[in-house]
Amino acid sequence: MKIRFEGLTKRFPNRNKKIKEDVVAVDNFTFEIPDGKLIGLLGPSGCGKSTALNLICGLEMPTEGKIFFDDEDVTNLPAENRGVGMVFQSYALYPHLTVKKNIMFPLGNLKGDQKLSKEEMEKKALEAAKVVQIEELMDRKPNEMSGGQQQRVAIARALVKMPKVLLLDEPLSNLDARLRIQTREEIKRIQNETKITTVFVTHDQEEAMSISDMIVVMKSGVVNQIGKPQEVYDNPVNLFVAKFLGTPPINVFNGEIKNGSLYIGEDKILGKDYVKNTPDQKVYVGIRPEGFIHDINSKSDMTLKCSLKAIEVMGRDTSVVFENSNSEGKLRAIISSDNDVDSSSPTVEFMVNPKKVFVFNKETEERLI
Amino acid sequence: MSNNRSLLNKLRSLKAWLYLLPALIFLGIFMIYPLIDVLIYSFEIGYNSASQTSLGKGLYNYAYVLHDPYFLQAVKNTFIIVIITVPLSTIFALLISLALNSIKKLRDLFQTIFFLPYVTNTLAVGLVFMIMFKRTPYTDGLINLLISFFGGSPVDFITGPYWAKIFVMCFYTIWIVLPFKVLILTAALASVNDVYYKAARIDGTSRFRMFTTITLPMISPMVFYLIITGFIGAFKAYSDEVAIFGTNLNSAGMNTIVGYVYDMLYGDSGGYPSYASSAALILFAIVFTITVINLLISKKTSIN
Ligand SMILES: Nc1ncnc2c1ncn2[C@@H]1O[C@H](COP(=O)(O)OP(=O)(O)OP(=O)(O)O)[C@@H](O)[C@H]1O
Ligand SMILES: [Mg+2]
Repeated sequence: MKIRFEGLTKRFPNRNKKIKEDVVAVDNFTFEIPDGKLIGLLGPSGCGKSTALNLICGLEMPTEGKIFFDDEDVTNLPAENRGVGMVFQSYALYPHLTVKKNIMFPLGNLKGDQKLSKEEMEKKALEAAKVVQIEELMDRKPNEMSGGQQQRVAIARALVKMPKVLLLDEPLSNLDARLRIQTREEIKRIQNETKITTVFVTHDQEEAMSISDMIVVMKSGVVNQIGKPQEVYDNPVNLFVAKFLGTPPINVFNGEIKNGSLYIGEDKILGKDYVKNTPDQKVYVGIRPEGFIHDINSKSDMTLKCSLKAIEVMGRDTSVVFENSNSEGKLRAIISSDNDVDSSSPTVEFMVNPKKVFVFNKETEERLI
Repeated sequence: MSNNRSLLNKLRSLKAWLYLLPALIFLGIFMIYPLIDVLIYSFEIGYNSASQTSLGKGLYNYAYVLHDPYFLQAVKNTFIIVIITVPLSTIFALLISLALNSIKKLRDLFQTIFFLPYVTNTLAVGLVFMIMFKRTPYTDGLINLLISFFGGSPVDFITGPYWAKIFVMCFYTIWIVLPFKVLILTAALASVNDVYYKAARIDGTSRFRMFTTITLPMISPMVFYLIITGFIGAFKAYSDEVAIFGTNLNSAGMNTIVGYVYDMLYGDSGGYPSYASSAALILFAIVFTITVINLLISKKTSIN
């Protein structure tokens, strides 16, 4: 099922009573979530991700705007009647019920001719449990299971009624690093099998990038960019999105466009082919760690001169830590391990890959090149 | 090494006992010793507390008490009060707490109002009840005025028929125990995490099912606590009866078991510590049995 937003806005009265201005948790959402896809809703803490999910499932009512499921306007439909499945950040498994009873719980709410017999309910619960591979745990209580198992039970409970939309609110945040990777693959697999339109909230960009068909990057209630993970990564629309995606993070420099070339300090790093007709101005220059090229034999005059701080060899790649007077703090370049960097030298010079360099307006932080 | 450790452990437990000593001494003097004493009195026939002599030992005291019509009346009254007030007060408290929990505005105000009876003196409340229900040569009392207003015939609640007196008694008892139960249950309801209700709502759960399958199991430890303490409290009823019917409960036919014990000791016909002791032990046996049954049920149904 498609989900479509039209000018969807949610304002909360400010919790700090002294401030009159409302908090805009979701600001004018207008976009469409395609059918059967896994969407990652991504943004820093407090940007309104949970609020957006609550609007979709009906736990919160919008201040303005509309929500459509396919072509049906569900804006005023209460949560009870929307038929979505939701996995809460804390799982919200009923602690006094066994796994089986937890999974069967939504089925017990069906009325009229949809009503199921006990056997049918148990059969469906077992099917859902099989999808998340917890069929041996059916008689346990939630507190007798690990976080990862509880999360799967929560997914099974959300899936059992075959919802048209599945919502997951930071479902992995309670898990340790390894289990996290494992379970996110699991979610991807389940979504692939069931083809249920799924919205997955996270503030971990890596998580969103790795499993989503499409990501929506939010900042303080506003959608900044929507697209396939790789496209957004390769083509951020502004400095915020560029900074938010990628580990290690993008390196940001104060730069300048002068005489049709891009400069960082005194160093010209890219020429006319790159800058094209962009007018001269002060800019931010973002360079992805993998966008630095180290080649001692190159005769190119377009290099960035930096002071070398450390070299960390990590198997396949080498991570070069350096500093530059036009940027704050430590910077990082990832280059191939075959590339010898002279670790005794106090300086290091890099050329850059123009595809990995982004230029942003100094005031608006919008992308220029 | 292991010797050292066991010595250390011994010292540590010695210290623990030392800390417990003051409490143990007080409990010993004011609880254990009197309990044993009561047990002994209950088997001493015709014990005289002035001369500290008795005519012999045996079960005579129990036989006497169990055949005393005043005692049987007291047992009947006590059981009626227990059976009516414990379930009713718990149900009322639950309904009031649910209502309190679902309002947002003025919740604190209402919570305070419902808690006020708890901090008012029982005897003062009893007096108010008496004024409301009592018929005097001058007035029929507030309740009777209301009854007549709606076309009924006035009833003498304080000195009239048995059912009327029991009605007042139960009404009063429920009124007195309600605030504490409301307080405990509103706290229990508030402690249920909201996320369970959200999850249930998304799954289209009806209000009724939410209550029976989520709310009730989650507050059940508190409900059982209230039922158990409610039973014990109701079996020990006495001061409430005095507050409404005065000190001569036997002639009012409204005595309770504790009242009977008191009368046997200090009442007009008192001075029989042996009878009082056996009556007290019979009460103990009843309360003990009921509490054990309660605990067994609560263990079976409670969540872990
Ligand atoms: N019920 C509410 N009343 C007032 N303000 C609220 C309410 N719910 C959320 N907010 C505010 O709305 C903003 C967005 O909150 P939301 O919970 O959606 O953030 P989030 O992106 O889910 O954050 P996190 O990653 O920390 O979960 C925050 O500034 C928050 O303080
Ligand atoms: Mg959130």
